[in-house]
Amino acid sequence: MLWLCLHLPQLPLEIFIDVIGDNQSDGTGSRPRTTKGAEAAGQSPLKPTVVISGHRIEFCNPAALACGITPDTPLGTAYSLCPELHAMARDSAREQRALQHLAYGCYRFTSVVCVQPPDKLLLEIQGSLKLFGGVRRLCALIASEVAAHRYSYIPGLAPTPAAAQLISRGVVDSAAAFDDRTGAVIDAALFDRILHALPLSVMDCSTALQASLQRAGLRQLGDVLRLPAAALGKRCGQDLLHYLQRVTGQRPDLRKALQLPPQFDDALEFMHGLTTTEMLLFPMRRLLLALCGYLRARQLHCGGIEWRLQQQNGATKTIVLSCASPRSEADYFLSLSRLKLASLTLDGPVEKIALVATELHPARHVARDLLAPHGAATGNADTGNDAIGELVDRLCARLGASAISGLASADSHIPEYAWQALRAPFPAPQHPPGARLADTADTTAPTAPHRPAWLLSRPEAIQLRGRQLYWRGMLQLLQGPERIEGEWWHQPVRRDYFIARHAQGAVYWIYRELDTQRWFVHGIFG
Amino acid sequence: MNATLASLLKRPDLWQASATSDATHGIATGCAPLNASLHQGGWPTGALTELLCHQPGNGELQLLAPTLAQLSAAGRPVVLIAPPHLPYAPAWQHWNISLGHLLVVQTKTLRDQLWATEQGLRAISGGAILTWLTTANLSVPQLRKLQLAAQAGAGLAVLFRSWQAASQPSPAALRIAIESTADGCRLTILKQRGGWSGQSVRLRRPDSLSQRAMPTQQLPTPQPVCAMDSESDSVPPPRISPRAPHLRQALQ
Repeated sequence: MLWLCLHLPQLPLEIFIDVIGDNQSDGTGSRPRTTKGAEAAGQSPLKPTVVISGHRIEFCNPAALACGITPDTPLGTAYSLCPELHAMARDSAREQRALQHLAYGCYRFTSVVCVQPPDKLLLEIQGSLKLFGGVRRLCALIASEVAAHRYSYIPGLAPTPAAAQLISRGVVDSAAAFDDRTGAVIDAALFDRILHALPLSVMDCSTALQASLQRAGLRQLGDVLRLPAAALGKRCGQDLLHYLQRVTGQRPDLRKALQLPPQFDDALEFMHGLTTTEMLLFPMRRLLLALCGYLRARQLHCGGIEWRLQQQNGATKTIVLSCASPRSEADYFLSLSRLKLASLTLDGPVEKIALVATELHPARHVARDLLAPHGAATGNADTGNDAIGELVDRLCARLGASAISGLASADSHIPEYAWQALRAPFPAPQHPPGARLADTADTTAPTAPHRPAWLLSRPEAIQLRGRQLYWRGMLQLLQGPERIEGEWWHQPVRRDYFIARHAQGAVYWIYRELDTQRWFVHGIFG
Repeated sequence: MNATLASLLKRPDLWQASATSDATHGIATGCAPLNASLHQGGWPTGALTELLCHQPGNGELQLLAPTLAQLSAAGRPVVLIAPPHLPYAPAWQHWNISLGHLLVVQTKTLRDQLWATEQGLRAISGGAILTWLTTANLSVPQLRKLQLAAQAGAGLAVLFRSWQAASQPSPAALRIAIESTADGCRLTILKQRGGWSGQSVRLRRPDSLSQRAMPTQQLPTPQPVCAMDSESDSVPPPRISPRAPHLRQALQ
């Protein structure tokens, strides 16, 4: 077993990143090894920010540190040092949700992901080493996943979960002690040195117990581990003994792995409210990343999502997005959301953003050709369909679903009922192209009467001057009549259709209503 | 090479004789005389084509139909953006254009239309985009944007524009003016990138659409039935009463 612990020391501060802008966090001083999603969130400059619980400052970002504020500085002093200080109240529920979202994202690297509140994730990665190509590559992938969420973390690698947690709270990386390919301990001496050098304060035991160990003159974890177990158990209780045995792997350590919920439904709340659509994009991206981690973990694709923006005045705006084909990419949903947001007007600040995945489908995995080059494998028609699906999604997102339609013929001889508009999402054409061509060739007999390329949505009346027909000019009849009659049960139609030429050359499809003897233009030959 | 010369050669609007030798082949138009006049042997791909006509119904769709049929049979999409009227499915089917590959986009504003066209041009990859631009005044940057999108998508990009646009500059690779004649239409090539312009091609309609099929005396004589009907265009479209027609005749 090889456990990787992700310790997120700055999580309480970093969950507010969308409100305060990016902080190149290196916060409370003791952790030099942070791996950071380097990109800055927007143009907002670094604002001095602290996270407080009660009136005590718990975390501060580098800008606040630069002002001379440290954890445990009294809040009044901090304000006098830096009047424009942002003080955010600590939000444990939101921290837990952020940890949960990150766990969804990490689920694709291993099936054993344990959330360890308040600030740690445990991943069992031994089983994934072969697939991802070794410890170092897997750790790099996980680092990029965490960076996408814009959190800083400290990794801890160890054969037991308890030891991984301990090492993630220290300052020395233990990766060198493990074989890159198999994950086995190859340098036990180095690992023991790292573990034994950890201070007692990192141990997961009560402060009273820690104090009593300190009083006994023990400073490092190694000092405790070297003591005879029976004597230590008698003096400090069985709990400490069991804990140490779990750290060293002498006692099994059962952890509860993450179970994914059957539906995805999540929300982010904001104390101050977000006023512009640009500000909404950042939390949206966070929720979408969580959704995509969830989709990947459950091997699902999502065919539609729904945003619910709750405003401070109580009104809720709902944005519904649907895809031509189910997808699982966060960026794709984000670009559609951006198009939708462009046409949205907010009445007031948004205080809560909820994301619901409305349609979940089993993922459609495309088998690629082993020998064919990448991309060309699935054939042109398939990728073309995907491109068109994406186009339809984008057009629907900006113009509205009613602006896009497909076309189909309908089974009626009455001209206005002989076609129908199809609404998105369109069914993908099923037949191979050749077969379809044969079909249409069959249905259109060579003797089929002429039909115009354009149909007027409402027939337009033709003027009669003497015995001459006028519609934007003089009309001359060329052919006819073709009688079209029927549908007495619905809306009776009795018409004689003619083909007429306009004085300027265009050819129209006109008809005479038999009941009223009135003339109308119905179509235009293209 | 001289620096000035090198910078000149980079200009996209400077015609170079060497560029013609590897000119790409266009999509055959289905009309032999037109193919012969187009130096690529057909519609250019990955570049704008402008068809200038007075009004819809001058034979412009008949001109494109064989190409669209060919593209849709190959599984390529055909996208109509802001068409002037409803595309009538039976006719398009009659032209062997597969309706499953046809997409109709309605837009309300010119801005939306240009945006949709640009998005479409980038996405179609070998299909066709047909867009009807009713406004004559398009700025060169707007057209240039479309031209760049067309290059990215490498499909057939047809802009239908009004006749007035003929006098305005355009980055389109091919500009054809369409004029109605008694038996069809006349195409005049106004501009052809990398080739000669000025050729004129006649396109005939099918005989049934251009000639009288019956003697004059057989034609029905349009007669005003009552004074109200002959008045003006303001007569509303027909609403036929649910009463059975034979009853009405009996009443009359």
